[in-house]
Amino acid sequence: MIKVIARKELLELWRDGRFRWAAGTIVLLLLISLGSGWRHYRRVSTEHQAVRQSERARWLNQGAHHPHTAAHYGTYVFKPLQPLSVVDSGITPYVGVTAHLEAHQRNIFQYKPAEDAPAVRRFGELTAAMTLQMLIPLLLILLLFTAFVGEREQGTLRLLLSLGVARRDIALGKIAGLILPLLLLLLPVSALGAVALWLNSGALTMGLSWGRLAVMLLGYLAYFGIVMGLTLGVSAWANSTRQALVVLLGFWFVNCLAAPQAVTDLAAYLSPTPSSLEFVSALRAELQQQKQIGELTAEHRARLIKEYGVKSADELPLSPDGLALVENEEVGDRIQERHFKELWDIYERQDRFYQAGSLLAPMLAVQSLSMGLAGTDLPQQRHFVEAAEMYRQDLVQSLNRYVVDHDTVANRTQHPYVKSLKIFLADQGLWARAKPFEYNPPGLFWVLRRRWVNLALLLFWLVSVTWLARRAIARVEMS
Amino acid sequence: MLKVIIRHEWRLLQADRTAWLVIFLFALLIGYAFLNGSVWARKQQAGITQYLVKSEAQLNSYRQQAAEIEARIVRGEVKEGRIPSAPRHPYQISTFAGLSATLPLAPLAPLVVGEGDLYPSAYRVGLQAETEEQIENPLKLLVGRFDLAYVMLFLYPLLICALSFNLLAAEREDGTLGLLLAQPLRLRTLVVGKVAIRALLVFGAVIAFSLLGVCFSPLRLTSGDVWGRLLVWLAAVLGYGLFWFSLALMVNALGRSAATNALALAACWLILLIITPALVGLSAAALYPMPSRAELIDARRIVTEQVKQIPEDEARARFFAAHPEYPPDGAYTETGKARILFAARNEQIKQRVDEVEARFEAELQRQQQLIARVRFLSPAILLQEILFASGGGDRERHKHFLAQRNLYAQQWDQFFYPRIFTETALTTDDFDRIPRFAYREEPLRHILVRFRGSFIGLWGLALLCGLTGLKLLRRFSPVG
Repeated sequence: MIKVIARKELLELWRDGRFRWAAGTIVLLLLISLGSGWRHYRRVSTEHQAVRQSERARWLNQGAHHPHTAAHYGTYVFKPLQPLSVVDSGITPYVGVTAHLEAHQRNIFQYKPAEDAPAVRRFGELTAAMTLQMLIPLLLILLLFTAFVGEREQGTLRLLLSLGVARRDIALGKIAGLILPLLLLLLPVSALGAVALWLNSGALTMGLSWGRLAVMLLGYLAYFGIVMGLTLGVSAWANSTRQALVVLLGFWFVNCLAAPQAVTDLAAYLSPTPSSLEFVSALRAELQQQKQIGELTAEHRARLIKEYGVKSADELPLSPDGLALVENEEVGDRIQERHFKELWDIYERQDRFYQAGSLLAPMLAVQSLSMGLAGTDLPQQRHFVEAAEMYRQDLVQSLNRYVVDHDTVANRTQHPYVKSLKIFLADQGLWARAKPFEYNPPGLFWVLRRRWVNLALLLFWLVSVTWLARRAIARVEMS
Repeated sequence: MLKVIIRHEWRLLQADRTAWLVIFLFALLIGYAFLNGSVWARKQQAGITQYLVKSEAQLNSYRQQAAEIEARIVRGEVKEGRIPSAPRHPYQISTFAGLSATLPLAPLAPLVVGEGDLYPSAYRVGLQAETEEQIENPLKLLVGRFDLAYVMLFLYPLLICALSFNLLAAEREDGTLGLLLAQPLRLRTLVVGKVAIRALLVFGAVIAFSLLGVCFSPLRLTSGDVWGRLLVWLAAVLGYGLFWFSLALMVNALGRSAATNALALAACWLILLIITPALVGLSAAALYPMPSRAELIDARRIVTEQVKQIPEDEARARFFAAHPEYPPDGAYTETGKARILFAARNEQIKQRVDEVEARFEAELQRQQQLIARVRFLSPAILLQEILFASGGGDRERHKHFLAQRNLYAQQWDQFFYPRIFTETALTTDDFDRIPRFAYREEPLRHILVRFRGSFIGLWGLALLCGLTGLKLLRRFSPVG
């Protein structure tokens, strides 16, 4: 019986010009967004690769410098994009693409791509994720909302049920009749996307993780299942098609356009993000309270002269300036670490609240999950930013420690600009000893440990929606 | 006759509980948007104040130290050294007490955040120039803000559609339309009456709730042209509302069932607010792709290397040629000469980097020109431009700010360079004369010129749709 109903639904869909239009538009949008995402991904990955290489070359060939000058010269790092970011760019447009890793300062990542985009982009980026999260649910609602209530209004439900057709079979038939064309539309697009990604990843930055892709697909399928179940349930429960439509469109609107803002606003009330100027003034004030380099150098010099029992600093076998640099960096790093940790903890608390908001709107769950798997969510941004910071601290401190051991008066030569000064210059060999920054993004399990709540909530939604829909369908009245 | 219709429709609306529920909901959302915007604006304002106070306090502590030293010199307790001590050393002050060009909150910030949460709002000048990046949670930036601009762009059309998708269909189904038109009443008058009362209700609600919100928000009504901006804001919102009423009229005039009308209007909403802007943004980015900031970093590094290759004497000579105020044979100290070299190189690097940065601006201009040509495809794009610009949440205000920041950085250098190069001690008088930044808001009439086209376009689209709707009504059959 399910088959018969499915076949009838399929035929009806096919004959319905509106379906062909709507489905055609969605597939087109999906193709366009995937295509442009892919182009962007390739371009950005190639550019970052090129700049990474030239940065490294410049670092190695910077010539003779004081090691601390090299620490100030520093380097720039870029977060490598993962292939699945083509599907979901997540927060990428709203985080800076690079930061200067240098001595003393932990810099905030700068140049958010959104700063270089016209205001119209704030309406929302056309990505495959947007199509999957917002437009396909709308299509599903429009195709299914008449399932029971429409049949009842036409009087065909009474006929069907009088033939002894189980209510459950009608529901399953309707779903089957819809899933088939939907899969026919979506599968070729997904397959095309996956193959394109697979062929083109590897060479540029990193391989496509099939595990991530599989979980992402599962997540979206569960989400579509929720929307379909809900639509059928409402269609069975509603008194009129109009009521069913109003309720379902209301759900869609709240789910896709009101809940995200409302939940992030609420999260910001509960755990407020400091304003940028508040943040920097607090951080700088604390840094300024610490002993400055000049003061530290004097202290170390006096202490060392006493310890080594020499007459002047010129005779010391190690550099008080270097010790001051090491100590200043160490103190500064800890202070900055604490301030930035607080900031990222706030972000993450807000993010977790957003995840919990999936109880209200399943879109939030699928969105968080999708960003997580695409490697474009907050926790993975933090992972990258912290890896870069660890690298900065190691780089700067290894150079500072080199200063401690080598910048003695005996090793100094004439300063290039100030005639009265003598300076210590390190040679090429030191630069090569600093390894380049290699970032390894976290694996699937790392992501799932942070995103299992989304999967669980999606499942919870699916189960409860199915249960409610079954109840509503079992009670559906003939007229 | 129109009056009779309006009065009658008013009675019907009064009895319609759904209509009032919808309006009540709308009022709540406006209130929430104001609350949200106000909280954000207050927080930003507090941050700005705190920041300014702290940087002034730091400068002031140096001034006090300098004053003490000055007094001791006057009393003859210490002798003025050849090189001034730290709190009076111009290099020290310019580096460690650099003040900032800080952008004040936008005039209508509690109403429209716009892009105000995206661009840096302060830049430190001096030898340790610094950009104070915005640190809003990127997830929040992605999701967007629930401010009044959002309510007007997205929810207000829904309110209008909900009130007017069923102007004629139900009356026709009930048969009352035929009866009505049997009276000496034109269909057009009836429809205009129905639309007019709804428009009065909605516009009245928008104006009343907005003004109420303005009263409770931290908006400074007395400053500058805030009232003018509010008027522009309201005029644009009314034009946008008229567009949606006209569209509803058009859809009603096609004579389909109420359910079909509702679906058609929902589809229009989806196309105009979600799909068109997304496609417009995407095509602008695809046709005029932004050069990457990674390239800018690369270029800056290369330029720095190139500039460092220029021989010292030549670099200084170029600097002296560009700045006749510093004679090549001035009384510069040895360190001063090194700083001249530093300043000269910095200036040359900045010039070349600016050339590279100009490419970003040019590309963005091209994107914006494309958008300007196709913006009439969606009134939402037009309204967004007007609301962002009149509220002060657009990119142009930030550009205006950057231009003033550049001037301020020049003023700063002009003040400090001569003192740094000759290592002349800063007196307390000098401290008092250190230039301060004061942002001059762009006058409203300049902003008006910028979005004039969008404003005319918005009202034009509204009138065009309205007239088309009225024309379509002629073919409307009252008995279905």
